[in-house]
Amino acid sequence: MEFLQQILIPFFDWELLILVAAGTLAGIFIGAIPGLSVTMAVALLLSLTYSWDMLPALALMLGVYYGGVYGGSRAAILVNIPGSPASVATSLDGFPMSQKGEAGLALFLTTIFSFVGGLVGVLVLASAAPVVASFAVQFANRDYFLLAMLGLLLVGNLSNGTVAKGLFSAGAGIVIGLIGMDPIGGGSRFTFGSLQLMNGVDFIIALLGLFGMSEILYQMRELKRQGKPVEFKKMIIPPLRFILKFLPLSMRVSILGVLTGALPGAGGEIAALLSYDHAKRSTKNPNRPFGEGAHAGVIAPEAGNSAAIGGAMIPMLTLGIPGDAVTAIFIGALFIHGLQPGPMLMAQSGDLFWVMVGSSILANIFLLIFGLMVVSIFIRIVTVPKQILLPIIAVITVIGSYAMNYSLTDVYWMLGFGLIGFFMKVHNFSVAPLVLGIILGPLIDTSFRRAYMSANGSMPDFLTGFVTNPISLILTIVIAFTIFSQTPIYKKVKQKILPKKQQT
Amino acid sequence: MLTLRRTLPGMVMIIVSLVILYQSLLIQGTEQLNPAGGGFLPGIIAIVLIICGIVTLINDLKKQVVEKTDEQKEQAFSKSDYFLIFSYFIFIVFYVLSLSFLPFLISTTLFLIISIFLLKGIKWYTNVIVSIVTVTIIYFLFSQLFNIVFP
Repeated sequence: MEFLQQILIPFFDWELLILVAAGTLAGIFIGAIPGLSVTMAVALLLSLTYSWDMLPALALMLGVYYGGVYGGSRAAILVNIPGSPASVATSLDGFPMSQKGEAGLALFLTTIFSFVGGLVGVLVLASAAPVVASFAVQFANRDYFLLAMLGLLLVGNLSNGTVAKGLFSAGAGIVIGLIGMDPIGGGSRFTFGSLQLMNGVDFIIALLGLFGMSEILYQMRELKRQGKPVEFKKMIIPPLRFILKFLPLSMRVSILGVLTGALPGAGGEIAALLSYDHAKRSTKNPNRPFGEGAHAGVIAPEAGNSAAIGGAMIPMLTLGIPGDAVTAIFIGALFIHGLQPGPMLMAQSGDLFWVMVGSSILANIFLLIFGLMVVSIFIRIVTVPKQILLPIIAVITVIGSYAMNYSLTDVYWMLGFGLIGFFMKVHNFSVAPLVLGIILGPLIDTSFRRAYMSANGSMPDFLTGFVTNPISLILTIVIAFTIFSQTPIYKKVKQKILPKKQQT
Repeated sequence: MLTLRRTLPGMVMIIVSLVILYQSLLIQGTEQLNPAGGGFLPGIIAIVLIICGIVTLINDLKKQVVEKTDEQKEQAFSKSDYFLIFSYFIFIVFYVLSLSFLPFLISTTLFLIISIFLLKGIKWYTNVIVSIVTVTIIYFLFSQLFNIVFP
C-alpha cells in the first residue's frame, strides 16, 4: 500500500497541488488558442523550469499536457479551427453541433468524457506500466535498437505527407541527434570541424524552433483568416441518464485510445481519429447522422485522445521510448534531472512514477472543474487576433531558447531550426519524425553498436540474434511487416483478400 | 521553371543525404565496413535517405501537371506571403540582435509595438496597451516564477 501513499503526495503537497492546477488551467487556454500547441508549451516549460526540482517541474508539465489536449477541442467546437491536431476529429461533429445551437451541450459532453477518458488512461498506465517494466528488464541492446527503429518507422508512416518524406525526416533527425562527440569511439561526428558543435545540438532548442518559430512563420499568412465564433450563451447540463447512455462507448474508445497512445509514435491525433471511426461504426441510431452534429461524434474522439495520454506514458516510463512528441520532451526532462528513463526507472525511482500517476489523476480532476467553470472566457480566447498573438509567441519562444544556457547563440540556432521547420511544412514534410529522430538518434546509435560488439563483432552471430531471441524476433517481424505494408505488393494482396471478405 | 520547382524537394533531399554519406565515410576512415564504428549506421541511414529522395523525385516528376483547383491555389504560398514571412523573420533576427545592446524591457516593448503595427488591423491604443501589459506580465512571470535572468 506504499504506492497509494505516493499517489496521494500531490493531493496534500500544496506546492504540487497548485502547480498541477496552474498547469492544467494554462494548458486549457494554450490548447484552446489555435496556433499555440501543447508540444511547444511543454518544450518551453522544460527550458524555463531548468533550475527547478524535478517533481514540481513534472507536475506543471503534466498539467499543461492534460489541459492542452482537452483545450484543443474548445476551438474546434466554437470556431471550427482545431486548437491541436488531436482535436481535428472533434471538429467534425463539434462545429455542426454549435451551428445547430448546441455549443453548450458539446462543450459539456467533451469536458465530461475527456475526464472519463483521461482517468481510464491513468488507470491503465498505473496497472500496465509496472508489468511492462518488469518484462522490459530483459530487453537487450538489440531490442532497444529495434524498438526505437519501430517507433520512427511508425511515425514516418503515420505522419501526413508521403512515406518517403516521413522516413527522410526521421533519418535526418537521427543524424542531427548524432552530431557531436561519439560516445563510444570518442571522435567527432558531423561537426564540420566546428568546436561549438562538439556538444551536439540541444534538442530543446531544435524543438522550440521546429514547433514554435516555424509555426509562427507558417501562420503569418493566415492573419486575415479569423474564425467567427457561434452564438453561445451558457453551458447546458443534460440529465444524468443522457450521459450514462454514452458510458459504454466512452469506455471502448478509451481503451482504444490507450492502446493507440502506447504504440511508439502514434499519439492523440490518431487515437482521436480511430475513436471517431469506431463510434461511427458502432453507434446504431445516432441522434443525427455523423458529420452533422452527432453526440457520439464529439464524445468518442475526446475520450480517445485524453486516454491516449496515459497510454503514451507507458513506453516512455518503462522503455525510454516516447509515444509522441510531448512524451519525447518528458524524456528530455528526466534526462536533465539526472534520471535514465527505461526499465530501471521503475525499480530505482518507483516513487517518481506513482507521484506522476497521482499528478495525472489530479490534473484530470482540475480539468473537469476548470472545464465546467471558465466556459464563458473560451469564446474570447479562441478569437484572439493573430496580429497580437504571433508577436507574443515569438517573444516567448526567444526567451525560452535563451533561458536554457543564457546564451544568444542558442536563440540563433532556434531561429535556424524555425526556418528549416517552415520550409518542411511548406513542402509537406512532417516535423514530428525529425524531432523523434533527434531524441532517439543517440539511443539507436549506441544500442546498435553495443549489440554488435556484444555479439563478439561477428556478423553472422549478430544477424542470427535478430531471429533467435524471442523478443527480438517479434520486434523484427513487426518492423518487417510495417515496411512491407508500404510496398505495392501488400496493396495488391490486400485487394485480393478484402473484397472476398466483404462478399461473405 | 516548373520542372525545377517540382523537383526541388527531391533534389534537396538527395543533396542533404550525399553530404551525410560523405561525412559518415570521413568518420569511418580506414575501417569502412565495421558496424561498431561511429560512421557505419549514419552511412546506412544516408543510403536510405538517398532512396527516399529518389522516390520523392520520381513521384514529383510523375505527377501530371493538372490545373490547380481554387482550394489548392488558396493553399499554396504566394509571393507576397513569402515576402511578408521573410521580412518578419528578419525583423525577429533584428530583435534578437537588439537584445545584446538594449535592455530586455525596452527592446521587447518596441518589438511588440512595431510588429503589431506592421501586421495591421489593430487600433494603435490597443496595440500599446497590449504590448506594455504583455511585457510586464512576461517579465514578472519569468523572472519571479522561473528565476530567469534577462539579457
